[in-house]
Amino acid sequence: MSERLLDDLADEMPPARLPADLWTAGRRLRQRRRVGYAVAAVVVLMLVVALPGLAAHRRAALVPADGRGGVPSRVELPHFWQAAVGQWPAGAGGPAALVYFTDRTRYFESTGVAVGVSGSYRLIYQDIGEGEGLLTADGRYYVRPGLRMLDLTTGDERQLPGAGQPLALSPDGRELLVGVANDDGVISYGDDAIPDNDPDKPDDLVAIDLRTGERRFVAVGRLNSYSTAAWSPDGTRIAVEGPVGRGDTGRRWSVMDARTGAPLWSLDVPLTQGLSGPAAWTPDGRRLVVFSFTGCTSTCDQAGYLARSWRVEQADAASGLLLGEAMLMPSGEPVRSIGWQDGRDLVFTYRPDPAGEARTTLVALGPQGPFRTLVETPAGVSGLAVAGDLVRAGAYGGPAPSPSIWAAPAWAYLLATAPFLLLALWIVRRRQRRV
Amino acid sequence: MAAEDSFRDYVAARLAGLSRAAYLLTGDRHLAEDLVQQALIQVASRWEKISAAGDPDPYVRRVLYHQHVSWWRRRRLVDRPHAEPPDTAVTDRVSDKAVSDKDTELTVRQALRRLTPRQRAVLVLRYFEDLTEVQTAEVLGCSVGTVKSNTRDALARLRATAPELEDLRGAR
Repeated sequence: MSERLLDDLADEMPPARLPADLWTAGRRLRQRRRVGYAVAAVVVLMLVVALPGLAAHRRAALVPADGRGGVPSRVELPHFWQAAVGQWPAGAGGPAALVYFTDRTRYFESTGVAVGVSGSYRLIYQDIGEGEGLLTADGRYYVRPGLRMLDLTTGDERQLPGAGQPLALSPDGRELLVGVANDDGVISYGDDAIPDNDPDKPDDLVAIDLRTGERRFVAVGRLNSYSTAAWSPDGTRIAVEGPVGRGDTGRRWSVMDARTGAPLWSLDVPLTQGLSGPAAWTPDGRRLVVFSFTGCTSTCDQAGYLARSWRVEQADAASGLLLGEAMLMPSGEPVRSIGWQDGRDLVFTYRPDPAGEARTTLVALGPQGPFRTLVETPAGVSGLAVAGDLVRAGAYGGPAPSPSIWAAPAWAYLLATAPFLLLALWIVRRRQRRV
Repeated sequence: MAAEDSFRDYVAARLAGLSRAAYLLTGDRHLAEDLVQQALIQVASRWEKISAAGDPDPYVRRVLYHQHVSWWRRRRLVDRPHAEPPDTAVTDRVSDKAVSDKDTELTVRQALRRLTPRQRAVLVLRYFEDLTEVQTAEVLGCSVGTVKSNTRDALARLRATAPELEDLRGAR
């Protein structure tokens, strides 16, 4: 009875109608299957060949190298999707060899780019209008204006006590010199519509111990503000430069005792002379390197600005008086000294073509010139900071890493795989509709 | 061309049986037709290998039943609305016996629809195709224990939904 019931039911079904090309359809299916197998084999083969290389590339991009590297001889602009320091899943890039600044990132504003000694590239987001910070000697921390210390090995950020503009690190790397503004919160403008420092409320110079966070006042209320500070190589003296007078119309240099802040001398100088930067002291501590120019000093138009001719001079560290030995720059504009190579050649950031596209490189200038380019940069790089240990070691000419395409935030991975996910979803839906 | 000819001969000989089994599996003529076509295209794509192994039936059965389960997984076929209502209308002139048989068939169809595809496949293989538990397990690619448990569950569900199918429980 049971079999008969099923048989009776099955009798309702006539023999299925079959397409005339049933055999051909089977052949086509076989062909498709074979093509699929071939493609899969090729893909597997490619993955087998390429995966170790990709993994090594990714490791190089994500894992800090064990040993110290060198300053790369060339840097590139980061990818649009480059991960920021500490951003998952790329993680932090490890200690940096250098940090440069560019607005050619996905933020479309000036952004720091930390290039690790391992060759990693990581972005450092900057607030709108945020200036350039300092890289500690070991390349582990980037000190942002506002005294926020970004750990480049973890992505964590901690706030140093107080606030201010980081100016220079002590030779032993323990103390950070900071200019602390005492101006009112409101912006006041002079005749030239440029925000002024209030001379009635001069800035302070503070040294902060980076390990303990302890603050020590070095100088209280001497300059309207501090634009440059340089620690002498033996750590006993500090040279500073800053504007004086109402409307910041004057400029003063001062050298003081690094411990007590007692001024050793002060000198008002014309606006055409400026201390070169944190490496202004010569290695023997007897002279100060000065970047000077001939040309217009205030309310310059573009032509006047470009007509400036620059030279590198030296001043007596005991008096501030220029020694009369000038080295003329054939072109371009020196920006900021960052160190010395072999105790002889001044290393500084340099704009090769102020009239053209913004570009800052790192160069070295010996007593006999001409200068050599230490770090090639692409157009759009506006500033450079190099780890002090590498500067002292003279470890230039390191490999030129390219930013890894894999060092990307999670959203970039999602974005990249979305078309494939959508395609897979479409195929599944299509197959379901065909059933 | 010999392969194509032997395939055509096989299809001509087995089409009716395959169609009937497919109908019991799907409960729908159109779906049964699609199922048979898809299964035979799969078979045609590997015909040389299948025919070289001897009797093609075990492989063809396996394709048919797996294709059905695969369809069900992709889409709950049991819930699919029918393209046309099943032929259940009963004419006034049929005899009481015929009316009774038609009612029973309707009950069987509705009861089968309440089974999972695996349970339905087990019933069709065991009671329509007359396969043993071991052969059924081979076709479905599962253990004999799974066949037994699926059979037991299927019959229990039939008993719950259609008590008048008591005879089926008494089968092997």
